[in-house]
Amino acid sequence: MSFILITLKIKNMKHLFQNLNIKRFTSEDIKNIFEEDINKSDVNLTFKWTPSRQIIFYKLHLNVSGQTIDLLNGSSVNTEIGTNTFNIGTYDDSVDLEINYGILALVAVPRIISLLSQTNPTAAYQVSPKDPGKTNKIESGDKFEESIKYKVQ
Amino acid sequence: MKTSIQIIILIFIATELKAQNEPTKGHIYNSIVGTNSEPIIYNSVNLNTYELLTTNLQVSKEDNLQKIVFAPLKLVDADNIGFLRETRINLAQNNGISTFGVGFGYDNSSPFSKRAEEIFGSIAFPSLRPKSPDENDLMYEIYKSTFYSMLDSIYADTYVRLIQNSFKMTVAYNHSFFEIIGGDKMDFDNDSIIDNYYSTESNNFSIGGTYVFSLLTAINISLHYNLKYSSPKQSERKVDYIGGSFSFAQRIVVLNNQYRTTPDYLKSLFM
Repeated sequence: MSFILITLKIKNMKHLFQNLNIKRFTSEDIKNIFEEDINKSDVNLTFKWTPSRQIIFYKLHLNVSGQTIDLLNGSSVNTEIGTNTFNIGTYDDSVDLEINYGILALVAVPRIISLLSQTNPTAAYQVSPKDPGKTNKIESGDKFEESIKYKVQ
Repeated sequence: MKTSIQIIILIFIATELKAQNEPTKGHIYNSIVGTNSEPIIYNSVNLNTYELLTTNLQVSKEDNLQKIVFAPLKLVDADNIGFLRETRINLAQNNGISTFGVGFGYDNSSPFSKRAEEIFGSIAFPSLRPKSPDENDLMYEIYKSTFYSMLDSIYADTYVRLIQNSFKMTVAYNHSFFEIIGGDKMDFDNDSIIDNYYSTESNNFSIGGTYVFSLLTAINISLHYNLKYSSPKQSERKVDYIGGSFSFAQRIVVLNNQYRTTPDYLKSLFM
């Protein structure tokens, strides 16, 4: 458990002081930006599916403030380990996010769900299918695309 | 001991595919390997098939066969059943002889094999990019259509790579019964010999290997050891037979050379 906590802590730290101007700053800037950062929420999208089923994430687009960003940075993600988390970014409260994703199943995937989580305050939801406990199914060769809308808390 | 060897040189298969506007999942196809890859003499005990369900119906003047080979563990979601995933059950009826068999196999073209992990892991291609601000809707739709077509090709090519130069092996046991398997022992012709003394017709042990060069070409080799009674009469003796088979399958005609772009092929991956 301690290993997991340390990992998460390090992961969240990478977003700190992103807005600090390295060319010119004061101790007041450091304090203000840190306070700003820790009040923001880190948002993650996790996919959990039947292990050993190879899937390809070929689309992960984020619409925020009128801009569309390719969160895959131009390269598809190919994995079969059964869980994969994408960091969606760090946002202020009440920011509207729209995430569009696409998955190609190389073999049939009997069960797959997507979960959206955020820090500060901590919250996690099953976003596809929307009913907790239910799962989606993807046939071999099928392309599974969905859109999720989320308001950061 | 009697020895029987039968060799089949060529199995010609012609294939025709027609595209459909609305692609539907294809569940029936003809495979380059399977129950037809062995000579007729071993058809009822052949477990060299690698699909979830294979049926075989053979009708002739002297030889009628109805057969099903089922691999139920292919339906199991668990990822830790290893080689048991290729376990097969054989049910066959051949001229009144009922056969029940079980086979264990290894198939390195399975999507769950280590080889498949390596092939799947080597796939790399760009992600679908978002629409650029200066791009019109039509241009983006054309880009998306091209991208999805590339995805389909990658999917199909992956399975072609998986089947090419793949090896499959099966170890099987089949138990065959005469028409009457129970009831009172009777001497129907009053020759002081029980006519329905034995219920077991034969015990067959086999080992088979298949090498698939491509979607077009495959070879199959198998060895059978058979302990058999020629009739259920009490006076019969169990005789052991050793048999072998070799077959070479080649598709010689593909009527639609563009089959790999048809919706049918992309949905079922089989010619």
